[in-house]
Amino acid sequence: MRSRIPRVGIGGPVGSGKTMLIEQIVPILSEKGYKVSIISNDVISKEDADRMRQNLATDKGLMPEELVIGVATGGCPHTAVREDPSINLSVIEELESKYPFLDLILIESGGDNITTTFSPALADYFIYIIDVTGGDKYPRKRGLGIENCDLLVINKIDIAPYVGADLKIMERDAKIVRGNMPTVFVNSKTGLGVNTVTSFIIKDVLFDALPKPSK
Amino acid sequence: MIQINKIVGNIYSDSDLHEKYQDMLKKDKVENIQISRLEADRIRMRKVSNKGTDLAMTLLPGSHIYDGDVVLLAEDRMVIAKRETENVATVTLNNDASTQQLLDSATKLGHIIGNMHRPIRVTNNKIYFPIQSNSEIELFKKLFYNLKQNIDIKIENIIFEPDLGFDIHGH
Repeated sequence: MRSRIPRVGIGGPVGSGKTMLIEQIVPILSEKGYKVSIISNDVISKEDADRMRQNLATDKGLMPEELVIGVATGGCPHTAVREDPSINLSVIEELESKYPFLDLILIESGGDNITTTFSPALADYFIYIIDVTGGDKYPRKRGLGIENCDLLVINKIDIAPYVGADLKIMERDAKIVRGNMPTVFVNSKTGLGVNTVTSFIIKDVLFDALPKPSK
Repeated sequence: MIQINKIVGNIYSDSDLHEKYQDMLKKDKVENIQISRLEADRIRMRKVSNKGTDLAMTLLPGSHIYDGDVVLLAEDRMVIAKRETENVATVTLNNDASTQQLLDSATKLGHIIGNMHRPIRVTNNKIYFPIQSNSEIELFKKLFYNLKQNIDIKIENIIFEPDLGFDIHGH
């Protein structure tokens, strides 16, 4: 029987930093010995997948190039990760057959609105990422993504002072909206806070398991 | 951390388990984990009970977690899944309306609720769908304005289980 590889969905609006967060997470996981594949959904192009393949596979040699896969959804991005995730599921089935040694599959949604969520059939854990440039009102404006994700990531904290965003307000409102569910502040450009994101993945998705043997 | 691969049963549908539950409750050996509607269809997740039991759950594909499901049964503890309640709008169709009026109203209600991308449950002349905030009830009252003669709408805080195939998204 094909073994099921744990999957993390990463969603968020266009430009919030989904791709860069993945580019920061993968080297940390890789250094710990975890073998990761990436599926990147985009509406029309496969630009994000091409960029991650170049960066993480070709330049850094952290994974084989074929383990970064681009999916052009052709419609509303959320449809491919929630209403009808069959395209993504078929890619995952192939990965599970060909690469059973993988520890984790990261699924990046296309840039979408604040109501993005992932189908439970597709992702075991859902990270939603926003950034400070939308203003410090963002968390309290709610939306399914912010309210229901397992981990809320607030990115680009380095530029908060330049856009008038108060991180304390964002932290306070995230707690009101999300209760005990965690929120992490990061700067994906420098990697600040990304270790915490990776720790959540290792604890809550990989159940603190050691990496699988290579092949 | 304790590995969980299957649900033992449900205390509300299995009389033996219900008896066991009552017994363990008296001995203060019952623990709970909170499961939201969105988590109910998940097959892999890590949960900590209200008494600190750390559970790594990997269930079979297609599994669904119901309120009262026994996640772990051991000598020293019984861990129960408690489904979280949420605010749900309940629309009741007026039984005094004619069949044609009911048919028209039901079709229009379905159209409006569908346009708002809500999952629904339909039972006994009632349509249930989740609302995201109390203010939304006013929005739906406006949207249903032309149907007000034939319906009644109220909010309840209950466990919501959508009808199979009607668990669509909020947009």
